[in-house]
Amino acid sequence: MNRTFLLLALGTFLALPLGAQEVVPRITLAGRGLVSLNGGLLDRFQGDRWSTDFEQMAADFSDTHLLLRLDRKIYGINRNQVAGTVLGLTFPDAESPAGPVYFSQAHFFWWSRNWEFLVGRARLENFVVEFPTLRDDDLLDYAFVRNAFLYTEAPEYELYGNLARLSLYQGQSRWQETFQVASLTQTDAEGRTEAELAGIQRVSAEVAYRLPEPLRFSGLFRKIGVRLDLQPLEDSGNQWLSTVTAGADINLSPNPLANWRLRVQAQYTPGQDGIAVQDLAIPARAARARSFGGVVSLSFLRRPYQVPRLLVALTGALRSYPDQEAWRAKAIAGVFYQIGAEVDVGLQYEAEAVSQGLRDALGFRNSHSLKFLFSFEYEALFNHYFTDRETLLNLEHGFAP
Amino acid sequence: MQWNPKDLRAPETPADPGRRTFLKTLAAGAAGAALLTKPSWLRAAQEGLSWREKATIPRPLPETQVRYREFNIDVRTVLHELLPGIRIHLLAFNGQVPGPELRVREGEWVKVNFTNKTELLHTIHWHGVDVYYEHDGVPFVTQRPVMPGKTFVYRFQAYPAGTRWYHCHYATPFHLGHSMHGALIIESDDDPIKKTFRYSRDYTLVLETFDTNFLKEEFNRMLERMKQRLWLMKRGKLDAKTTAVFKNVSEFLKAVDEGWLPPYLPERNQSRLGADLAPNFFAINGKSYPLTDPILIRQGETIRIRLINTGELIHSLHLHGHQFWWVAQDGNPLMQPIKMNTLQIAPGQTKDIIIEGYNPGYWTFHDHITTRVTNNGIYPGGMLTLLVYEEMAEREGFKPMVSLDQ
Ligand SMILES: [Cu+2]
Repeated sequence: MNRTFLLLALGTFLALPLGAQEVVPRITLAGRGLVSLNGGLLDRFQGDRWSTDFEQMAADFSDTHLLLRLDRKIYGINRNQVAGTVLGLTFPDAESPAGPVYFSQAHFFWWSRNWEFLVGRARLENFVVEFPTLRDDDLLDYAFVRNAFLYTEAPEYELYGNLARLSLYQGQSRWQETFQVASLTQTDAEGRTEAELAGIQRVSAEVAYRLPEPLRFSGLFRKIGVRLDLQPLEDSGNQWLSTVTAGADINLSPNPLANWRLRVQAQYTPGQDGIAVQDLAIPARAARARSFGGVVSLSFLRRPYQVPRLLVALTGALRSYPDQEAWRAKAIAGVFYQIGAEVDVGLQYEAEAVSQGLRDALGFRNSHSLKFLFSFEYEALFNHYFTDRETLLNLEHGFAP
Repeated sequence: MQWNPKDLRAPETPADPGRRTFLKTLAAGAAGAALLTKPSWLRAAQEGLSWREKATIPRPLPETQVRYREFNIDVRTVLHELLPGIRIHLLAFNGQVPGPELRVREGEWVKVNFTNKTELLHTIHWHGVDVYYEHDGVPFVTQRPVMPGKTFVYRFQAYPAGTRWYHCHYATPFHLGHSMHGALIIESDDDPIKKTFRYSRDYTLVLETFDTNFLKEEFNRMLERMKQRLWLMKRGKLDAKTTAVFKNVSEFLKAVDEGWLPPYLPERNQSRLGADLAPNFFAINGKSYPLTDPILIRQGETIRIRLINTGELIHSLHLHGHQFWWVAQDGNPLMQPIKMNTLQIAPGQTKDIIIEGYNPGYWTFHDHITTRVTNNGIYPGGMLTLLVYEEMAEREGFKPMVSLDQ
């Protein structure tokens, strides 16, 4: 009846050529509301001298997002395959060219026991290890494979793209191989989209040993992997810009009540010649320069009675550009306290310093900032008539989602 | 009070000579005293004795003093197929759904070596059996739960006779809703039902309900939690507040004073259990219709059916084309058999009925709360089976087909 209503209301848009039988999908509503109050000191060059300025306290709600996942089992007796779609919105920074609302997710997915296929707008996964920082882009200059076609700051265009991804799994999903081709958003210096999401701007492959989420405390390596990202530079004589990333996420103590975790990642881009140091402020140029990136993070999660309460994380990151004899480094310390189930308050301190040559390009030599975080995360499942791929039953007792 | 043989006659079908012979046999039996044996509990009550003719249930005796009938029962996780395409992970005794049927003699000493081959905690409760309390299988009340990989030995003297059963009593709504249940039939030479009705076949129908979606979700949640607890336990780091097991109420209240959050707090937990469980599959002996086993009978034959309701719902079981005798409840013979065709059975109950084969044909026997005669909401299915006269195979007439969607 609902569908009849929709068909009447929207004309023929929803009429599938095969006709429709109403099977209500599993519905997952998830997301996060995240607001931080940011204040900081920026040591910037003004006229002829360096001066330290206090940056006014500002409320920042970027990274707030809303996700809707709809999925169904597909036809077949004991075929155990699921297909679905995800629609996701994020709310970018005020100055981001991505606009007030960015469609970060709009994809179709399809999975079974040993593989997962995804096509459409999704997160790029241009890293091996994720680090415990307040926002996804806090380590954008250090931990990610950068978009080599971006001439303005736009974190959304670095983290998301239109892509097709196939992941293969073996050994109770502990071994994962991922192959991905992606279209990236390309912009000019003003943030105008020059060529949006056409052609292939990145080809990636990753091999990893990892622990599925329900087993995250059951081993030394939560993840250890290596990936290769290739970006074809048509504007530079069809060269391929390559980046190799290797990383490990280690349970120093797998204690589920008091979990110490060490995360490391190293990244190397052989890069192009002839990039001047002052160009490193431009994301595409920084992406194309020869560079080394390294991040180390130590964190402690306290989960008394198996209820997460406190996360303390200390992260150090370095990006060096040997051809330009330049580097930048960042330290991040965070304390996050859960006052309710997935209701966090926290504090993150960030300090960043840049080398001599890079100071002029970036306009500062060091910065300090303090962020007070308020975050609310949620996930609600409706019509839960099958389970996810990586549950303990599916992993250890036969696959029957 | 005695069972009156006049009440024990099923409706006559004069056209059927076989039926007459059957009644004659019954009447001949009625002449003998054996037919009118009083239920043993009644005799015992009249003679001023308790069931067991003893004041207390003794602690199990050592093996040097009595001979035990020994059973090995384990619990494993199996992928059970209720119907083609409906495979669910279940906790199952000896990997069987339902668990193996145990048959013992009244008064026999029983020893059950129970081994936990899962990563969860379990016990076995002997439902309706007068055991020594430490063998009653209620975790934290009469014993510590049986840990993964460990074996616990249950011992008891089988009393009283009748249709009894056993089930896990740890996380009962969940583990019982799995398949941790099985029949325990305590037989007796003094069984008034056997003596009265002289039935030739004896069937056990274990009634089950499954909320497959909840079972999956909860099973995964429990496994994940237990995996972490086992790690802690091996290192002596598992405390009372994590397991939510306290020595007594004041220890619990003290923990609350210290800021511990009980798991039932709405800010911590919103389990579906108890709120809106929605069973979507109904089964008899581990299978849903049309895969349920038929009940076979022959004309003139009397059969006994032992019904055990292991689920969380009341069922209203109706037999077509027959009046049957309700003869026992919870294993104990009724004072008087009752003639009926629709029988209610509540969770935890067992009820025994006697069917006399006087109306050859194919007859459905099903829950008359017909929303349970469904598979995932599709009728017919679920808690339905057929009473099949074996001689019908050679007779003319309509033969049952299999319908899955009406
Ligand atoms: Cu159990």
